[in-house]
Amino acid sequence: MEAPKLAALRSLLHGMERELGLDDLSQSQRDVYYAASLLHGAGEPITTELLQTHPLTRDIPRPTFFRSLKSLLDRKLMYRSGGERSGRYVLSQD
Amino acid sequence: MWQNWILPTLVISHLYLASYWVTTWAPDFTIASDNGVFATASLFFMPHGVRVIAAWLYGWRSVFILIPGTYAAHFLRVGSWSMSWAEFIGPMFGVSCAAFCFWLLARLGADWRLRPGFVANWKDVLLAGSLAAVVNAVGSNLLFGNGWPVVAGYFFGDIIGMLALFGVLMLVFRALRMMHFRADRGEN
Repeated sequence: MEAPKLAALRSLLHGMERELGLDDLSQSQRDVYYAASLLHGAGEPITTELLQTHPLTRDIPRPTFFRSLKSLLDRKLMYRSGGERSGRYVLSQD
Repeated sequence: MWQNWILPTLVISHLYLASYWVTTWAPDFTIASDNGVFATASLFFMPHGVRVIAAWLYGWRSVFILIPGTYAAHFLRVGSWSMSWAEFIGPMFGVSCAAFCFWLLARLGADWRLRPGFVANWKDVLLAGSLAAVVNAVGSNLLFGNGWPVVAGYFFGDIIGMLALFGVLMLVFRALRMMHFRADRGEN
């Protein structure tokens, strides 16, 4: 099976896993990811500041927020845009 | 040729055969049909899930990609390549149903087929697969002259098998992802 087909199948089944609540993200990680997705969908930059003040994430304690953000980066669900300390992110295309 | 036909045929037909082998261990029921012949319906027919995935990925091409797997499954079942006319046509009909349903749904305005820049929702793919299960159950009934209990068996077997296959593949991909994630973090 060629790579684009395999990637499409993987994406389809990952969507199934997410919607069935079987993915391995915690609630706070999920909220940070959803907030980033909403910012991206609204055409806004995904920055640490906007993420922290988003209605989905503003009640998350600061250390938990940064742990969640780091976890999403480790899992390659999000990537840093620019330098290590730029505070700007992009979503993975997966 | 290799990318478009040989590799997909090898992968999909082997997946079909493997899922068929699993199906042979699952419960089924045998019932005397209207034509007096005993018919068997598996209640856990995972190959239907393979047909649906192949049709979603390859469209009409999936019919040709699946054919070697379906006839190999026939050999696995009866231990011989000889087959009746109905046994020859039956697998062809079975592998055409899913591609037909994706095509039909597209004509009706719900085009869930894979195309550049568009990956359908898994629920839509399962819905198309369920429609294919209806077409396959009713069509096979006409082809073999089986009764409605066998039709119902085909239908439920296809649906349960399809759901099981999607679940298994989801868990396999999840396990692979977790392995990569742990490897990236340097864990054992």
